[in-house]
Amino acid sequence: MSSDFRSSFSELKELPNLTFRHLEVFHAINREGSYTNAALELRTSRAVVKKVCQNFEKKVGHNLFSELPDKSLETTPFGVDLLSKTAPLSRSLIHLGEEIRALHRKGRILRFAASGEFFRGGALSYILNRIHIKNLFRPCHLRIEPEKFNAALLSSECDVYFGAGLDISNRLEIIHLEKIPWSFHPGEKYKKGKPTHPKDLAAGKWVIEEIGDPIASKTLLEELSSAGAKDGRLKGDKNIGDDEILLRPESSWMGLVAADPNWPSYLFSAALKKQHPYAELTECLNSASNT
Amino acid sequence: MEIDLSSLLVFRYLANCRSFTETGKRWNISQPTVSQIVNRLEAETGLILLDRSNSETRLTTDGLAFLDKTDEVCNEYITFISGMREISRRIDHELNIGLDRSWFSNEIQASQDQISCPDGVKPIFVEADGDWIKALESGQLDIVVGCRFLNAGLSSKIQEAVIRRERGITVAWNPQFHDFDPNNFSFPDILRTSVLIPDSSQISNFGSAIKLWCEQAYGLQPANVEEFGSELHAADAAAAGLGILLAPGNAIPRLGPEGQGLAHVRAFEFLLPQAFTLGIYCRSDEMNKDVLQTATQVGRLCMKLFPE
Repeated sequence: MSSDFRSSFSELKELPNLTFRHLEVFHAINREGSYTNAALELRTSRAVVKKVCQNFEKKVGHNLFSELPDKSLETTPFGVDLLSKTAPLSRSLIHLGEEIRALHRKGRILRFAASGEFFRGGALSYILNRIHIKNLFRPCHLRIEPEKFNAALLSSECDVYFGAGLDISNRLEIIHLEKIPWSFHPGEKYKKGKPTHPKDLAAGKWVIEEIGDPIASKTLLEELSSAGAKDGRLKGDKNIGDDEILLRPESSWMGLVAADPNWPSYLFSAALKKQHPYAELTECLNSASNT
Repeated sequence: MEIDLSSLLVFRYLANCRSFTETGKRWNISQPTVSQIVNRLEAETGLILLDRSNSETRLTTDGLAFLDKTDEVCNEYITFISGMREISRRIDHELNIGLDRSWFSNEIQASQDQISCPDGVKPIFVEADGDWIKALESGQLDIVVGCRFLNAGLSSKIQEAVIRRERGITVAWNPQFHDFDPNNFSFPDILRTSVLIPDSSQISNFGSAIKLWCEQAYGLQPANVEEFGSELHAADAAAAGLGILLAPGNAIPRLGPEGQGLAHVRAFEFLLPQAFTLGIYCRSDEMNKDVLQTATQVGRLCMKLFPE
């Protein structure tokens, strides 16, 4: 026997992979009798219309139009019969398009997430006020701890994750929003005064507090070193010596204190899936960036 | 809107079964390909359709609303493709002739060279499963050679040319395992043992009719009912003592050597004079001369192969 004929098809490759565009172009050429006039109706180019039509003909396996001596296009008998079959499909696609537009108009749900500390400190509300989502989305807010944020984004548990010192997987993208200001905490016996530049830090006597991923903290150590601060260390579990100075990132100060451009800082960032279905999201986040 | 309509079929299946693996198996694609298809659909629509956060795959609120409208599109798409193929076949003078898995269809297939079709007509023999009536009504099949039990399934949209009718049903068993008396057989005896019957791919409605009869007449079902893909396999099982074979009409001649050694009786001959029908079926409104002439030729072959 040549095939197993079931009302549903057994393999995806059996299906011709049609789109609404194919039907739209088919109808337009049938109505207008030429690629040029169909292109005018559809507000596109003749070349595009012809290409879509030929692609459709290839998928259905027969010519839909034949060229008359006056160069106009006549619908073939196959095309005429096929046209009569397209109406219910076209209607259902129009309904689907309307539903999609309605869901967009209603405002798509957008899930922002961050760890608890950023909710408490006010950092998150400062940043969210800068992101103009207008009527595009209906935001909701989730608390997700930093160790789970990569998985949460990749599984669509949330759409945007905010945090500091984020290390992302290669399927995510990151948008830096704001530098996090430092606060300085010298020990009683720290010899130098309040630093105004990394060069002012006493060599070997400065410590930075970690937030986020260890890689981010190590990178920041190197950046501070490049800026002139020598021989610093990460705080880790060790206590701060009386003769040392602690640099602490203060995310709750964002918006209250301007980050000093002289100081390499932790970055408060937004992470999201690459090519997120909400195409407008990246632009919204970029426009909120202060870095 | 550039949504690939085939991706909607994949999405609908995934939404209903909630398994990427099973969806891949159904469409013969890999699980990552299923993921890619859904990702592309989300990008095209600008909607998040699935929540993949737990081990279980669920639709989001937007996904549920989308699925509702997608269902309509999927059904129309399948209808459209079937219609397109029907037109294509008509223009190319191809005819889909559905054959079920009965002994009769096997004999026809073996002798298909003897069917002289009108000039230019290309017959394509396809396997017709239990839904062949629906496939015929919808145009996926043009002609069907099929077996029916009683009045199963026929609608006013289908016309039938009867090749053969047989009375009652055949009950057969291996006497070494069952002590039924052929001269004094009582049909409710079948309730004591396993019943072996051909499935719906060969004869529509037989299994369900037997079960209904037992329920209505005796208030009981047989101890066990096994369905087989061919009458020959059912006969093999009966010969091995696994149960009692029931088949519509006069099955013994059809079983050939597999039927030898089985004791048998015909039951319900008086009550069911038209229990079994072998027929050729077309759509009632069929106007295509190629179809009608080919159906006539198939009928002639059947008359020759299966004389009364």
